[in-house]
Amino acid sequence: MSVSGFPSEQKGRQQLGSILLEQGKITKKQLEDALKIQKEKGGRLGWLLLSLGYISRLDLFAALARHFSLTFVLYSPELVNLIDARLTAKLNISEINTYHVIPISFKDGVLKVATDYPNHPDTDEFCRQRFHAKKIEYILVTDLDLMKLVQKIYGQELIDQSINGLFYRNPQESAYSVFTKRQVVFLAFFFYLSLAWFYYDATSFLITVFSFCQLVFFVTVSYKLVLSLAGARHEQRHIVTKDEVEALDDKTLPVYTVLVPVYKEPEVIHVLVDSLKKMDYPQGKLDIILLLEEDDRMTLEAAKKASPPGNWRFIIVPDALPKTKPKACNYGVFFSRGELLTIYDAEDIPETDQLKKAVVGFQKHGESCACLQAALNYFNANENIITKLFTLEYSYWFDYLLPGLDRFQLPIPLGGTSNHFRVKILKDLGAWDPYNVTEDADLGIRACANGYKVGIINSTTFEEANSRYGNWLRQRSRWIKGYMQTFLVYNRHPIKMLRTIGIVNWLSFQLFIGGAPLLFLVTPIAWAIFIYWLFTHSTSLDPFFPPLVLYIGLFNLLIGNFMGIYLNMLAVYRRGMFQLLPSALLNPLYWLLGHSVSAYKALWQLFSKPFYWEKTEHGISKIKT
Amino acid sequence: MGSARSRPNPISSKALRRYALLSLMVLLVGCGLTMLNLFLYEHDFASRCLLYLGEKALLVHDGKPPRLENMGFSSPPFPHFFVLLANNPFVATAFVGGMMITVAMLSLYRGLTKRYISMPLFSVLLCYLLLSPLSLFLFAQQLPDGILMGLLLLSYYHLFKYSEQEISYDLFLFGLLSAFLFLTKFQAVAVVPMFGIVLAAKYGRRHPLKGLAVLLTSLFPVIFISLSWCYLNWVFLGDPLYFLTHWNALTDTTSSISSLDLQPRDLEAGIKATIHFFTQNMPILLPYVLTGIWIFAPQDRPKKDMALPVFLTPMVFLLAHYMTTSTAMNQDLLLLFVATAVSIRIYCREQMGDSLFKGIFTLTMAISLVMSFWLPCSHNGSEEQLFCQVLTGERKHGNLTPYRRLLDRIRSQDHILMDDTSNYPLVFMTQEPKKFILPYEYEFEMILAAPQHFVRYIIVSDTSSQDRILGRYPLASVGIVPDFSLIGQFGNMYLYEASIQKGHGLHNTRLHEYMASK
Repeated sequence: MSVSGFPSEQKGRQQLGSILLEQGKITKKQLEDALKIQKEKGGRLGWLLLSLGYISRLDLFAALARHFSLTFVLYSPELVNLIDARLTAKLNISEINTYHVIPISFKDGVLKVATDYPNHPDTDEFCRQRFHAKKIEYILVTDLDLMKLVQKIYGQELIDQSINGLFYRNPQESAYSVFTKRQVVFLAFFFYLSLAWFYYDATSFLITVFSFCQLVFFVTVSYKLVLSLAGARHEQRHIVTKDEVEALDDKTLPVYTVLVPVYKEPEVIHVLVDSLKKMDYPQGKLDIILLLEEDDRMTLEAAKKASPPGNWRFIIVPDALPKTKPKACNYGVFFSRGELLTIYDAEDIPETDQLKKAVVGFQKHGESCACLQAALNYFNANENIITKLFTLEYSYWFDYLLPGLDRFQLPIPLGGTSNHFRVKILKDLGAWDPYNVTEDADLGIRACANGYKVGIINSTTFEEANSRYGNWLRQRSRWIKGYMQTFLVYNRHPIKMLRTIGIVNWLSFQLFIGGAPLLFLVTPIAWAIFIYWLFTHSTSLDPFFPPLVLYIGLFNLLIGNFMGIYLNMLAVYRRGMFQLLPSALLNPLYWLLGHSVSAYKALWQLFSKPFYWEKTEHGISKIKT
Repeated sequence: MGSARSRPNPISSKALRRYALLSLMVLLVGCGLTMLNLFLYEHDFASRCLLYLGEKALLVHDGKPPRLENMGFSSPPFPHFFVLLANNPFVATAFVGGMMITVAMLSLYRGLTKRYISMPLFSVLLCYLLLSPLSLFLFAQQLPDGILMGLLLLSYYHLFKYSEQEISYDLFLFGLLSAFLFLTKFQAVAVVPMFGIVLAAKYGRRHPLKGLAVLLTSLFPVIFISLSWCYLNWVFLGDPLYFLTHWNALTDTTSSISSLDLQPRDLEAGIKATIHFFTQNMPILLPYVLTGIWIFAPQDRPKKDMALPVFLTPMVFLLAHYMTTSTAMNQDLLLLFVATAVSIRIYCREQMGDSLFKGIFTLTMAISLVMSFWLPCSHNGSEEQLFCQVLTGERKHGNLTPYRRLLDRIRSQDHILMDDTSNYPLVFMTQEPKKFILPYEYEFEMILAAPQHFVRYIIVSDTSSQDRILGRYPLASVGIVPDFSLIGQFGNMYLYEASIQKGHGLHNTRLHEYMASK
């Protein structure tokens, strides 16, 4: 089935191509070009002509109406008024999307339906059974108009499901409640206990706190070292090879949905539009949906100006809180038609064969694989010291740490974009959590918690690294806040989760998702203690650092910082970004002035405005793609 | 949460069996070496190195108070780590040695199955590992030298691999290994820049940035770690270069050659000593010499880039040793030269080409093996010789006899004032560090000023220039220490007992009172 799902033209009817030729909508050369592509890559002729820009959507559907001898109508308020609400109440949005049909009226056993897919193999049978109709009469509408009708009729339900769908499915997996009652009680009890302990024996309390923090740091550093070595060892391993990609038959490729959630990014949207046009994937099998917010006319105009192919769809997400990227993506999923799905941000430049690599990756990983994460990196790495450090961090994360996690089949926290999903599993999992500001990391953990695999593919999407400190802080504080949210969500039933995913996965989750923010918060305190001692040589802190705690603290100070720098040095090798290596020496400062500051901001926001999405400004880099 | 399925992590049963077999072998070999050590100890033999490590571990675990700093910061810390874990130097050395022997055996077996080495060479090497007295002495008694050997061989492996395949994992590991080299033997750090520069030069020709990156990556760990070590010296001892100023004392006390070959520490003397070392031990070093001839001889086939720096490693280490210490190098480190030659033989097997050369190599290895049985036994005054003699029954008692005799003369539980710079075997052999007043304690200097009030016994060593008691009482080596009378001389140690007999309860009481007041 192609994106539109139109079947082969039936015998006896005038062919679509000849209709369009006759109408003067296309030239013979254009028809030949389209037929050639159809022969090589498959796809439906009409949609190929549309994606090549030879015809408009209206032209296509008008021709199809003639081909199928159907009435063709455009969306209008009168059409909406004609629709019998009692009939639409018998259908859910998912069924509409599957069967491409909206019932309009039912009289004397004849069901009149609006469709953008007049000869769908299952629609007829479905409608007969659901509505007990003897005969089905079709009225043709464009796919966009069908979408508009759905939005009009089911608008409230759509937005409600987009926002609260996960919560309805399983409240325990939603960050809607930042803290559950049990967690509040536990935290209150813990706080009270800590106060009492501090009151009666401040020394042992502080020793315990310091010991715990030092131990977490020690374990985290050691763990990351092991993962990095595992990732580095297979540096030249290609999960998906070039030969495997070339062996794919375009005709058998599945429909691929690409969601592009954008908000106030008119300067950069053209970047992604240009990149997607170059994707090595049959255009007829690409279901590209740009998700725009209702109040963002500027980006809509900029997107149109970038001249996207006609088969792309623009969906306006109704204005509703929380105004977040995951909410928009959830909204888009309702309209997705692909078997596979991915997300890109407005400024992304994915490698052209990324979708095909994902297809191969899913074939290799099997049915239990829910998601594949591509690597992220930056095209403006050399712009300034912030972008250099950011690039080092990302390179280390995606080129060494995630492959290490993949080797050991441990939970992989997903990145912000270029996550490739099996749509069915994505829907089973409840898609994204709109209340979680790192919905990607949350989804990766949720997949693991439900027994699915998350893997990686050897393909890169290039983005714009934040080149301004303030902008970087906003972005990073959001990520850390999201990690805190994810940590809270998946520790609502820690024993149950432990039993479900096993001790190793559980520990990995705790270290990555919980340990990271904790260490960012503790780092400035540790440095403050060290600097205080360095300048004063005071022995006032000695009682709080008994020998073992002192030794581990020294180890963390020396070896921990060494590892932070050295692992960042390692990060330059896979991509050959050797000019960045000296910047790795600044890693401790990057932690202190970057991560730690962001972490405190994140902690504050976790209590004051947990769902607030710190918008990252894009298009500010001086380096243009 | 939705339907939940736990996923087992991928450790296959084959891998589990392999690890189990490896562990079993390590256990067997380790137990064997432990029994060897215990047998030797019963016959009054243990290497000074073992005793030194054992004493330091004892001070850490049972010192006054027990803490890590008691072991001092003059010696490289990595070997101490194993002894601290096991709290027993015999067991620690034996199991580390056991692990290295096992890994070496398995590597050789793998080499045999993949036809990197022939069966005759495999047999010779296996005998070298398991039967050669030098090898047994190294792996059973010389923990730092054994670890050094293991680290260098691993470094060779990763360097060759990186040079061929350019996988950053190997470069990264080499960097970490070089840091551990410094933490095992300070002089070993001299080889690291050599490797870094060769690698950098190789890549720098076509890609200068990469060359610089490789240089930085290979040098950064050892630089950082050495600065960290300076920092720790400063934190705990107030002097960041303490380990350098006390270096000589360490090597004096743990050298396996008891007689000192005093020499000026400069390049010229170092080169002379190196040449002398070579000529003295030529039969064992034949494979190494042969490899050197191969490397420097002009040939049609290009040699691997890392062959020359790897070949030079033992020489550089030897030179560094002679330039920084005044003692001869331990004989067991001859095996470093042999192992280096074997490494080059394996990694450069394709470049070596014809079987004639390989045959000659095997022959020189066989000669080296035979000489390894004879040479240690002929070197008078060395621990290797004593080791062989005690092992074969040629001698009934080893190097610990004087210490035992001294300890037999100490009849009471009273405190003993002593500098453990060279007399550490006594502390280890009593297994009672609290009995001794040692330099690591804050009270040492105070008690040294008026020992008659605090201790019953004083032990002085006349061979160590750093013995603080001898420094305070220079006539102790001729039987004169105020308020103390000489009981006897035991080897190079002098045992004194407090002359104020009726007051001996008094000085112990004063010590206990003083300790209690703290």
